[in-house]
Amino acid sequence: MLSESTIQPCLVESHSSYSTAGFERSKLGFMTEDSPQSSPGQTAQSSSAQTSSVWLGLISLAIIIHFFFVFAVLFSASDPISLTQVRMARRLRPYTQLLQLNPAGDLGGPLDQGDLRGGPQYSLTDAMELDVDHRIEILEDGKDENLESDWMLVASSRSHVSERFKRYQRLAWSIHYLTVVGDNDTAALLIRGIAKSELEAGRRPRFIRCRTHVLQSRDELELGINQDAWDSIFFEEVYRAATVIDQHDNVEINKLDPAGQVARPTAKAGE
Amino acid sequence: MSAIFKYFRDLADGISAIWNRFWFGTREPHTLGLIRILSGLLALYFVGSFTFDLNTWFGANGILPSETVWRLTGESEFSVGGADSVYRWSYLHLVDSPVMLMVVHFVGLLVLLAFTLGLYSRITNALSFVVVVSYIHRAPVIAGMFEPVLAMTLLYLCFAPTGAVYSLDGYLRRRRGKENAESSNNNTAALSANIATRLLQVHTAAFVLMMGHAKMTSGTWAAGNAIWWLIARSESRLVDLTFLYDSTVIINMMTHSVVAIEILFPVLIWIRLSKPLFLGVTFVAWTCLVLLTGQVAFYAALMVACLSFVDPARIAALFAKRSESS
Repeated sequence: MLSESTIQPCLVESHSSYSTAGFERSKLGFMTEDSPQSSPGQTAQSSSAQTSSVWLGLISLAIIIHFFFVFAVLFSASDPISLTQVRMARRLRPYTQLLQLNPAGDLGGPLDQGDLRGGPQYSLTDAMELDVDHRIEILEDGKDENLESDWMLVASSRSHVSERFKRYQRLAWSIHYLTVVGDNDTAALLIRGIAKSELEAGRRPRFIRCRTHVLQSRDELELGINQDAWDSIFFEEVYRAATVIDQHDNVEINKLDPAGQVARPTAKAGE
Repeated sequence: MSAIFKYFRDLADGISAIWNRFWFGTREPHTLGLIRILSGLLALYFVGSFTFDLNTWFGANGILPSETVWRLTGESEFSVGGADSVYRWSYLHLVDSPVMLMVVHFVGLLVLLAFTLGLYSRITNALSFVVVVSYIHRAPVIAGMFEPVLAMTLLYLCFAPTGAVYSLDGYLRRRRGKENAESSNNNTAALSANIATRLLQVHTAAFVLMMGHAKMTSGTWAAGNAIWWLIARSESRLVDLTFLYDSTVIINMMTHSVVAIEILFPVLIWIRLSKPLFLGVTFVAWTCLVLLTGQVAFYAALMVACLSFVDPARIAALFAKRSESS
């Protein structure tokens, strides 16, 4: 095990090589204020210095390899990326995912999805279809689907700033994302999870929908029209499903097309 | 020929000298002590925010049972080793009953509390990383930008003696009389504190560069309109700045400033004279982005990670001044 006392003597060596290289401390001004505080005036035995220099070499190698991995995944977290970066990010997974070093989430290989990425977006916005606020709403049994006030926003009681609320926004985003990339079965799996959790909470959802909150337009604001961002015209439905719940509380999800027709069964309980 | 050889020898010597001085000095742990407290609070917030939703997310009848997560990430229980293997581990995959989930959750919260207070900090630091990453890996679908920054900070703190100062460990040591108060405060410089600080600094700088790079390669940031598209998101924003709809110059300036700050950060943060100013400018810019995006936790975690650039002597002086005044 490497102890700090083992390494300390090497500081002498490192500082001596530092001076023989002809550099002066002042010439490295850009590093000086934040420089380490150890004094080079310590004496050390040469054998222990050699031993510790081996350790320093090993630590240096580990640091270099670590940051090679870190930089590789960091800079594959935003588009555009090369095919080599895609391959490298995949190959480095055993290390970067184990230590949670990859800042980009991946929903089953989004790196192959072109411009669409199934994880956090560090550009904050690209003004694309998915770069809007998302919400999940349910309509309970016995309520009128044509009456907007009957639809209930999931997690509406939570503060919009809180991570608790944002998790539901990200879930809605994921459903929209999966729909856009054509993975309706997985989207239905998430919708079924929502239906089941609502059942657990004592509510029986008849419909579940995912809506986006459309962005306000500068042109419209300039013309003085559509100024209320909470008007119904600012909400766009991107996914709707009818839930069929049997007497044993098994849930089946039927995605509805925009006209309200049942598309096909996409997820059943126990699948 | 010998001149060329001499040049490369001097270059190698120079680089190794800078490298050794950068990584292998000693450093007081006061900055890391403060980062431990703040990142511990963030970790408590992150894990604590699951308390009332445990069963909703992770229960057998919840939104994200393990099978759903494995389906989403392309993983299966036995997929490790394949071309598309996913290496996300989480002890939360082992439990799905409401009672066991709650027990495991509260044990995790206790670990995070102990870490924040600096109790058995070497052990609780590593365990805190395990706890936080387990929650991230259990539900990657609902993870945002905040989680990777928090995990990164906790990972690097594992290498440092974060409990040396501002901790229950330090307090107990002094009470037991193994060390007197003076020596524990004045002789705590450690090589590991320096390595951990440098790891955190380099990773944070690279992270901010990646954020700047993501924006720079985005058309809407390059066109100078991105800040408007953030302002126009009615649910996320904390303040309504839509009255800026006709202020193209202000929107363009704000957009380009954010990109410039994040691109310049990894360079200017290392320069002695510009560091305090640039840290201040960056914190102001990110506070503005918090108001526009509502990403409070993410930018708070980033600011905590950026504290690694603050000199430990300044932190020590700040705390000493506070304790004197109180």
